[in-house]
Amino acid sequence: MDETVQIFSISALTRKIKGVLTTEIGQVWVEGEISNLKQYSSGHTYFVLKDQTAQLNAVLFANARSALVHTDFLKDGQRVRAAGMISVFETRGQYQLVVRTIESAGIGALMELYEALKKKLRDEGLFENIHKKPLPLLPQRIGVVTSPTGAVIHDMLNVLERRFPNMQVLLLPVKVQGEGAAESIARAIEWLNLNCAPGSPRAVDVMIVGRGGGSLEDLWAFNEEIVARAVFASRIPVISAVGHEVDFTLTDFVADLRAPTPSAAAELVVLPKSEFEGRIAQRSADLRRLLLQQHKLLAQRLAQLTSAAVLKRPEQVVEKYAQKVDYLEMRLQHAVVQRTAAARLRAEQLFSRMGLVRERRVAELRARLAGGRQRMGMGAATLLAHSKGRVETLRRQLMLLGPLKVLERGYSLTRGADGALIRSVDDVAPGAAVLTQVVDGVIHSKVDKNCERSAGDE
Amino acid sequence: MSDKKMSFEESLKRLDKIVQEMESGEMELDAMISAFEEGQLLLKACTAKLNEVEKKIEKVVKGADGELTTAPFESAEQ
Repeated sequence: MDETVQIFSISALTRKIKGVLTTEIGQVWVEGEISNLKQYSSGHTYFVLKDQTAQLNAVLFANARSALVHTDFLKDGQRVRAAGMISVFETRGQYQLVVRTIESAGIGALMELYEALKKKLRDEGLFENIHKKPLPLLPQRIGVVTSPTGAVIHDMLNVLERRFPNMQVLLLPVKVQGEGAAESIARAIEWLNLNCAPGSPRAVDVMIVGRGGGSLEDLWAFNEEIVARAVFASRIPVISAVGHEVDFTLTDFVADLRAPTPSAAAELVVLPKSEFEGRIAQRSADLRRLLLQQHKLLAQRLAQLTSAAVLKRPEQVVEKYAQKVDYLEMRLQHAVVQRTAAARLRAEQLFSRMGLVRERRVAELRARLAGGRQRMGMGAATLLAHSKGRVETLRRQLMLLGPLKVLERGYSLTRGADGALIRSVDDVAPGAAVLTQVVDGVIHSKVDKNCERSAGDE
Repeated sequence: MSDKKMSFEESLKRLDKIVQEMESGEMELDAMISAFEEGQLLLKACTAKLNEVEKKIEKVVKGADGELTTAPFESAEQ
C-alpha cells in the first residue's frame, strides 16, 4: 500500500462530505414531483422529490410542517416547490433536503391568477351588495347548473324532495372541471336567462350553480372570469354552491347568495313546504279567531245594551225621575215655607221691636214729662216757700234794723203777747206776759203791779 | 286585492297585513268581514300556489338538430 494515501474513517469522510455539501450548496429551492410519501406518527414527513431522470430524498420535520398554511397537496404525484438545506443523514450515508417550506407548484401559479382576477372584478364592483338580487320566497321552478352525474345532483334532489315534494327543477348538465368546463357553465347560465326568463312559460325564478368539493384545480372553472361574468349578468338570481371549501371562489363573490355546499344551496333555495303550510294555517286560524272574537265582542255589547235597564224597564227611569221631581218639589216648597216663615218671623220681630221701642219711648217720654212736671211743681213750691221765708226774714231784719242800733246802746223794746209794742203803761195789765227785746235776745217777763205814770211825763 | 297576478310572497304579505289590521281591534264589523273574506281568498290562492305545480325534474338535452331542449331527468341516472 502507498504510505502517502490518506485513509478516512467512514465517519470522518461523511463529515467531510456533509461539510462540502452544506457550505458549497446549502440553501436551495427545488421543484419536482412528490413520490413515496410517508407520514410518521412523530409528525415528520418523508418523501422523494423527482423528475424524469433523478430523485432527491426529502424530509419535512413536524415543526416546519405545522408552519404551513396548506398541506393537502402533500400527496404522491403532486408537483411542488420546496425550499430547504441540503444535508447528510450520516447514519445511512444519504444526502437529503431538509425542507423549510413547501408549496404546490400548481397552486402558486393559480393563486396569483385568482388574486389578480379577484382584484379586477372587485374593482369593477361586481361583488357589491347593491347588485345582489332578492331570492323568491316560493320558487316556481329551480334551475340547477351542475354535473348530471355523481352524488351532488342526487343529494340536491333529495334535499329538495324532502323539503318540497312537488318542486320543479330544471337541470342544466355541464362539465364542472377540466378543459371547457368554464365555457360550459357560462353558456348554461346564459341559456337559462334566454329561455327561462321570468314571465316565460318555462320560467325559472332562481338557479343554483355549483359542484362538489375538490382541490383548487378541480374548482378552477368557478374562478374563471367567463363564469363570474355570466353569473353577474344573470337576471335570474343565482345561488353559488361550490364544494365544501373554506375559501371562496370568484363565483361565490358574484352570486346573489353563497351556499357552502350544493346540499346547503338546496336548503336555502326554498323553505320547507310544511313551513308555508303552517304559516297559511296559522293565518287562517288568525282570521277566524279575530272575526269570532270581534263577533263575540259585538254580541256581548249587544246583549249588554239589550239587557240595559233603560231598554228593559223604561218606567224605572221615569220613576227615578218622578221621584227626583217629587223630591225637588218638596225641597222647593220647603224652601218657600221656610223663607216665608223666616220673613214673617222677621216682620214680627221687627214689629214687636218697633212696638217695644215705641212703648218704651212713650213711657220714657211720659216719665220725662212727669219728671219735668214734678220738678216744675216742686221747684215752684220750693221757690215760693223759700221766697216767703226770705221775705219774712228780710222784713224782720228790716224791722229790727231800725231800732237795732238803739238796742246796742241799752234800749229795749217790749211787746205784748200779741207782739204789739208796748208804748204806754196803758198797754199792759198786771199779770200780762211781755217780751222784752234787748240787743242780744228776748227776755220773757210778767207785769206784777199797776204801772205808775211818771211825773213829768206827759 | 286578492288578484291572481299577486305572487305567493305578496299574498302572504297582504295576509299578514290583514291579520294585523284585524288584530288592532279598530276595524268596523263590515270592514272586518270583507277583510276576512279577502283573507280567505288569499289563503286559498296561497294553498293553491303551494300545490299547483306537479313535481317535474327535467334536464336540458341537445336534440338531433343540435338545438337544446328539455327531457325528464331521473336522478338515478348517475
